[in-house]
Parts: sequence; structure tokens; C-alpha cells
Amino acid sequence: MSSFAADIQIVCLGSLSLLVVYTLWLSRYRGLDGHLTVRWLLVEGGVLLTIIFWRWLPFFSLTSSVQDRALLLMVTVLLFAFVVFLMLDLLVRSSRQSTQIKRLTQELAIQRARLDAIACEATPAESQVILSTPPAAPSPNTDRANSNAQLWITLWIVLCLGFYVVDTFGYQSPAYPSSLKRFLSAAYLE
Amino acid sequence: MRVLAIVPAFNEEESLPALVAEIVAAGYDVVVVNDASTDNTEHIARTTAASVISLSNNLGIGGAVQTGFLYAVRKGYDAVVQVDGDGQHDPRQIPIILAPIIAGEADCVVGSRYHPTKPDMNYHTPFFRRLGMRFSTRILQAATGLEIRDTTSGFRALSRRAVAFFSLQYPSDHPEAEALLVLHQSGFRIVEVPVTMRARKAGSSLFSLFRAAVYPLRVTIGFLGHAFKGG
Repeated sequence: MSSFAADIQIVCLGSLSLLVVYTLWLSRYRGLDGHLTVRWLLVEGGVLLTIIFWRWLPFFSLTSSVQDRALLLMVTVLLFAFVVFLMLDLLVRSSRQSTQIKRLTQELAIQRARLDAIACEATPAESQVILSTPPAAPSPNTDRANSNAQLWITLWIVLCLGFYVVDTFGYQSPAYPSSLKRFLSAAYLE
Repeated sequence: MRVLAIVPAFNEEESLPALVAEIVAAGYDVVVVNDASTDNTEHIARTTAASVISLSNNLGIGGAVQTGFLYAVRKGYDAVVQVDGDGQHDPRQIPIILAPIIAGEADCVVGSRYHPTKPDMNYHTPFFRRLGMRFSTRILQAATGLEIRDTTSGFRALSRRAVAFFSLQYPSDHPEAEALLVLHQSGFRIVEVPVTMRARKAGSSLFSLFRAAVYPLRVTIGFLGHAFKGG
């Protein structure tokens, strides 16, 4: 395997590993549903294995005529990671709303039971005691997740614009900072 | 000590009346949490001596039990006993699982069919369920050092503190093993006592073949999530 292909594989594996960690983090701290976590970890694990063994997979031989196929692989994997990232963001919101629906369902059922009890047997004094029970705590705000998604979409657009600029001015343009030149040089790509 | 028996019920119209009668006869308050059953469970439950909480959406076993915990907290009960609505749990054994709570020795008591001192020889466990249970026993032991042999048992007693804790957060889906992990991480004391269980009177187990196959993965993910939190 050439060093360039190995580098591409490392980038892909790194991105996917970060995605796995991010999924677990969402499950723990952002309320991503357990079922969804299992499914996405399976998908991410499958893609990780594909990347590890990509050179030995049967369908890889079909791409032998494609130029820069390692580069194409990286773009595909990064696109996959980005799409999964956005979907996970949506799923977190969906999971939170499911939790809120669960809380509301529980609260509704308990209140109905209380009303039934009052209607059936409670004296006015008992009704007062029952009605004085505090309501459930309000659910947490989900606006932050929304703004996070917008931030990442903006970053992605900026990255795409960056690639467009590089493509327009060429890899060897003197306008780039010296730290970027090594990565943008044609020699590295070869 | 005021004790509430929580009976989560999903399509348990056949077994419910006898079960509630047994619990009431044993001297405990009962609340049936009807988990949006599609049969006559709600109507049947209202004809019994139990209080009935009827959920408008199906929340699964975890959501139904947690509703019972919320109810217990608001009504000021000192302890709670979970009893499955299918009649497998014998209400005459409630004092056995309540004893460590009353003595102040535990916050959570699990009624176990596989306790080494007195295993339930009459209870037949399906193969895949047994595998899933062994897996969750081992992973719980690895994570906490606790050796609970019947991690999927829904026959449990909880102290007031544990009920208050679970009323705020309780795992969904197959919550039993994960609930033990969460309790242990939060410093609650858990013990296992031997009980015997009866054959289910009606309905079918939620632990289907597919769920049994997915169960280890689900438990692992739940545990990983907690490990990721760092205890």
C-alpha cells in the first residue's frame, strides 16, 4: 500500500472513530435513544471494517479503472461521516421530543387518575390536598442542538469553499500559508 | 410502613383480576399502570380494588414502571414492590423481598429464581433468555462487582430513596440490568433474595427470540453509555 493510500485510510479511520465516540457521547449526554445508538454503532462499525479491509474486498477490484480511488474513498467516507453527523443531530432532537412525550404521557395519566379519584370519592378537603401536588419539572430547552447543527453546516460550507478556492488557484499558488503548502503540493499527491 | 405494589400491565386482562385480589389480600396498596393496552385491561383493572393509571401511549415496561414510581413518590409511599401483570410473581412472597428494605439493609431487593441458596427448580427459562441473562450478569459483575444472577427479574422491592431516584431517571426498553448499574453507581445498596415464580397465566413474554438475540448488544450499549459517563 502506498503511503498516500495509508494516509487516506488513517484519515478515514480517524473520522469514523470520532463518529463512534460522538455517537456514544450523544447517547450519554444528549439523550440519544438507546435503540438508535445501537443501530448507528452497527453501521459505523461496518464502515470501519470496510475501511480497514478495503483493499481485500471483492468490489474494490471494480474500481481499479478509477483514478485517485483512494482520494475518492476519503471523500466518500467524509461525506458519510458528515451525513451521519447531521442525522444524529436530528435524531437527538427526535429522542428528546420522545422523552418529553413520555413525560407528558406519564403526567397526563397521573393527573387523570387523580381526577378520577376526586370524582369518585374525595371530600372537598382531600381534593385540596391532591390538587396542591406540584406539577412536573419543565423539560430542558433544545434550542442549543439547533444552533450546533447550523454551526457545523456553516463550517462545512466554508470547507467546501476552501476546496473550491484551492481548485481554482491551483495547488502551487504562492498565496497559501507555508504550513498548508506541504499538503497542497502536487508532490504529496503523487 | 406504607408499601405500594406497582403492576405494569400490557394486554393482561386475563391475569389481572386474580393478581390484584392476591396483592390486596396480602395487605398492600396496588396501582395498575395500563400501558396503552389494546384489549380490555383498563376496564378490567377499574373493576378491581387497584388504583389505575392509564397511559395514552405505549411507553414500554420502563416507562410504565417509572409512571408507577412517580405515583408512589407523590403519594408518599415508603417502599415500592414491582409485580409483573402476567401473574408470574407470587404476591405471597412480597414480604420476602420487602424484608431487607424494612430492615434498612438495602435500597433495592431483586427477587431471584437462580439464587444459589435456593434456586427455583420448577421454573423453566428459555435458552436464549438464559444466555441473555448470563451475559447481563457477567457484564454487571464486570462493571460493578455485584453478582446478581437474575438480572431480568421484574420482581423487585425499592426503598423510598431509590423510588425517588428512579422517578427522575429510569432506563427504557429492557431496563432491569441497566437499572441495577445506575443504582449501584449512585451508591444504593442492592441485594438478591431467593423467590419462586409461577408459570405465566396468559399472554406472551416480551422477551421474544429477536429481543433475546439483541438483548446483549442493547445491554452492552447501555453499560457503555454509563462507562462513558465515567461512573
